Amino acid sequence: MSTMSIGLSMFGAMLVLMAVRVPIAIAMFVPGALGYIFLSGFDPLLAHLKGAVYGRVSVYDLSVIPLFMLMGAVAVQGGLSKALFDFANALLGRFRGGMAMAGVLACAAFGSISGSTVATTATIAQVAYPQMRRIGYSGRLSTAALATGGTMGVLLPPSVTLMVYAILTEQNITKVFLAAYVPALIAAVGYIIAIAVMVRLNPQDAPPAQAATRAEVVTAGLKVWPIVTIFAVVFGGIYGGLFTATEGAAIGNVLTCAITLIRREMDRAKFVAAVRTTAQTSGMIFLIFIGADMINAALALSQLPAQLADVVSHLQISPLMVMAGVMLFYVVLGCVMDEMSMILLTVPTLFPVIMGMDFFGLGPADKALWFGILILTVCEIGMIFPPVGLNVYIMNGLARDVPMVETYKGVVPFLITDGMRLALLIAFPATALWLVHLLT
Amino acid sequence: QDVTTLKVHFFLPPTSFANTLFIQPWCDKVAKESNQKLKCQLYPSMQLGGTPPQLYDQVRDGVADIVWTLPGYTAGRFPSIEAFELPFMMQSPEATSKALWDFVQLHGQNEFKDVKPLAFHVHGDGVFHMSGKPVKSMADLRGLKLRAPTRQTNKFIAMLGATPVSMPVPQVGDALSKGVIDGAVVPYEVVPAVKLQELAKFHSETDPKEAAFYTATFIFAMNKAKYDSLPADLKKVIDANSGQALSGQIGKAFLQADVEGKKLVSPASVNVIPASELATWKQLGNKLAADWVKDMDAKGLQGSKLLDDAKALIAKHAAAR
Amino acid sequence: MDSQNLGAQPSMRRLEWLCDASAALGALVLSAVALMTTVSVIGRAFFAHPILGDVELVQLGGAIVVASFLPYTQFRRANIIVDFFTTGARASTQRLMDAFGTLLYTAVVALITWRVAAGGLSMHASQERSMLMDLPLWIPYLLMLPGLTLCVVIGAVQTVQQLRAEVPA
Ligand code: NA
Ligand code: NA
Repeated sequence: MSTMSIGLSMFGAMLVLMAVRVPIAIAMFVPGALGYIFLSGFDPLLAHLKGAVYGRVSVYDLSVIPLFMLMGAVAVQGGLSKALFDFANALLGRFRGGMAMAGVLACAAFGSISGSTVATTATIAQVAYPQMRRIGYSGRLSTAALATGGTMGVLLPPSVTLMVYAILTEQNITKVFLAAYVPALIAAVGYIIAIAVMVRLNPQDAPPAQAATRAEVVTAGLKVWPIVTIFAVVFGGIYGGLFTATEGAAIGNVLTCAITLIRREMDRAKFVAAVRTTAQTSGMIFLIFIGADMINAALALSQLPAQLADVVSHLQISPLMVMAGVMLFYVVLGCVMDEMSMILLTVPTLFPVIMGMDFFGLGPADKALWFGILILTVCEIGMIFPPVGLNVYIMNGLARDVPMVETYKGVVPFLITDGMRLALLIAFPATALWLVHLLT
Repeated sequence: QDVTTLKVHFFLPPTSFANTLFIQPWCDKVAKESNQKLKCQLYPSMQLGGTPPQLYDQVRDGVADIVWTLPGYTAGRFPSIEAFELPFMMQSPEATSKALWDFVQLHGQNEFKDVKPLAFHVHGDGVFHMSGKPVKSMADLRGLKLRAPTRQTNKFIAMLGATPVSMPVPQVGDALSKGVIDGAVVPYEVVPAVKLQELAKFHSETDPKEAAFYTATFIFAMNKAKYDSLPADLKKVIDANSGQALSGQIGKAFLQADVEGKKLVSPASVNVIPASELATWKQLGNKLAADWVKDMDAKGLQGSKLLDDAKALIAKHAAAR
Repeated sequence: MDSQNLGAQPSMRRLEWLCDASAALGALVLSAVALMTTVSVIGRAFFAHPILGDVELVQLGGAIVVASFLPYTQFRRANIIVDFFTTGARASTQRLMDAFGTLLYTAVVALITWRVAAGGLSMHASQERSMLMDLPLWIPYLLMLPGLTLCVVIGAVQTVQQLRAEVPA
């Protein structure tokens, strides 16, 4: 069997296992491990696993996940996040779907610094999801908005994925960032429009618009200061470069625990509940990381991503068709890979191919920037595209009361705006490039 | 006879000088001399999984056939080689790399017995790459978070008054841009691989007439069983492309990489820390070396002999140039 | 997932207690990591004296935290499955599929537990230590083992239960 067919078989086996209700982490791990044995041998697999699992769970940047999970769970149990949402709702309740829109923007803001879509979705959802349900949002809209919003961090500077693209393709980081702003803005606007349309077409998706009285805003505002202070310290510190996301999460934890204890809003039962939630969601996310890591290692070994990229490049078809093939290819990869793995494994092969083709007569520098924004956009889409979207799974795992089908139904309007954004970007490279030309 | 594919795993991206000036050319040469019977499959950027510190175990255990990594990423495992990572040891990467190869033949056989070393080498002069302000003297380092690669360099950074943060090179760019660290010590060779020409505003070198304030040691190693499984003619190709000569060549290539890397940064962002300032640094370096000797003695490793031999070998190869 | 039903069985109550204990241990380590990091940030910001090696403590602690959290996730059957394709299937078919999935989970976690143990032994033999604090790296490997082992036990018990149809699908 060729390495490529082994790679494809792993993909197929994974989909079959997922379809028969095998936990998705395991459905990734098992074909990955078997593929690894075929490609490299049993002993190398055993050797790989000696260090790989520890390597995956001891990543400094990923420790934000359990830290923010615990902070969120304590804030939920201590009533802090309810206060926050009551206040936000008092402000935004006059707009139908306003809280879902705020959720998307919160995801975008957090995603651009956290460096991981999965971490972003899990963190924001932990706090926002139960509250959105409480005030009357449907499971479908809540999960879809948060899962989609979580992907925005891939494109929004200072995204680490953009930075890695710049390094692999030897582009200027500042220019890559500049090229990303307008498409990211279009994404945000598109998502907000999607929510507005959804709540108009399906009124049961969101609570009716209700303008709060001044007194209600003031009452809610008086209760909100502790959590606002915490958020200001944590996110202000992270954005201001005073401390890392992990450090911010740690400080947020200490502050949240301290405030809930001082205000006597924490008892034994609530604390047990917070710990259980934290354990359950963190365990779920990290098992997926471990499974995805296994199949990613095997896919790298099989060289499937690079070989497929090579196949696409040798098709005797027009550049735009090649581009379409590339886009499809990333959506498929998005089934099992996070954005960083996709970029690391494919860009070194694909980039020279794209650079050798003519697109609207773009110069090499413009082409490189445009292509980077394009593939990162498709990476985002791949993370939520049915039937297998890593981010949708994570979100759905946090929302145990919502069937997966419902979440996917909710994602469709967002995907439509994504499709339109992609079409715009392909037809008019200036969408990405004009800001670069304007400012450099 | 079939083609043997060698899985080559390393942590830097394919565009890094380490790949373009050393790993890829080595692979091309080996392929040519073996009539295309030995071929590399490159896995840059840790594509096969794991973390940079795990690379050594990966080649030992056969996860990869060949790796390029830093023994110093795994603190405590290769104590004697740390002699080369003490401050102000290295003046010429080529001579020091040859000396390092000889040193391991003398003292490191036991430490590296689980792999087939193809080369040992060091990189060129360490440089401070800073995001906020240039380093002109020790005082400029006070309270700053500085990334350093190995145990001894971390200790030296702490002696200079900064806070050492230990992380493998690939994380440096992201860490600098997010303010996790205020600067990093790496040679110019790494500049494009982590985009330091854009992410660091200042590049502070030490006086080029002085020895480097730090260097790091590297190993280019092959899995033992993989080597043993090769037929005699292919073993000969590997043998011809390993050892002291290759070590020296890599050292030379890294000097070249430093020149190329320095071209990427704007001359206005470069400053030189003068020899007068370095006098104090050297005293601290001597103290660190004395501590290290004591530490080695405690491990039963004859610290002063290790240090003297390292210095003598470096002097010998420097004189031979 | 009907936790009422699970809790009713004494053997499951004992397992739940163990999972809770493991999660509590994880939360304790996580809180310690959070506190240590906060102290380090304060030290750095106000006294130019952070805790040397705070980053590696987070890494070491993170491994222990995750391994300690994993059992509770499986106890709650919170590892996500795709119900997309099987919503129409009979309950008995779904139960068999779940038994198969849990069996695979058990096998995978057993493999991982074994390999992490081997990794810990290898770290012990090679004397690898953390860069700044000089902590032996076999210790976090070792401390991952109780949580991972508990995962194997829970997976095995749940597989048997699902096969015997003791648990509603
Ligand atoms: Na997908
Ligand atoms: Na669900």
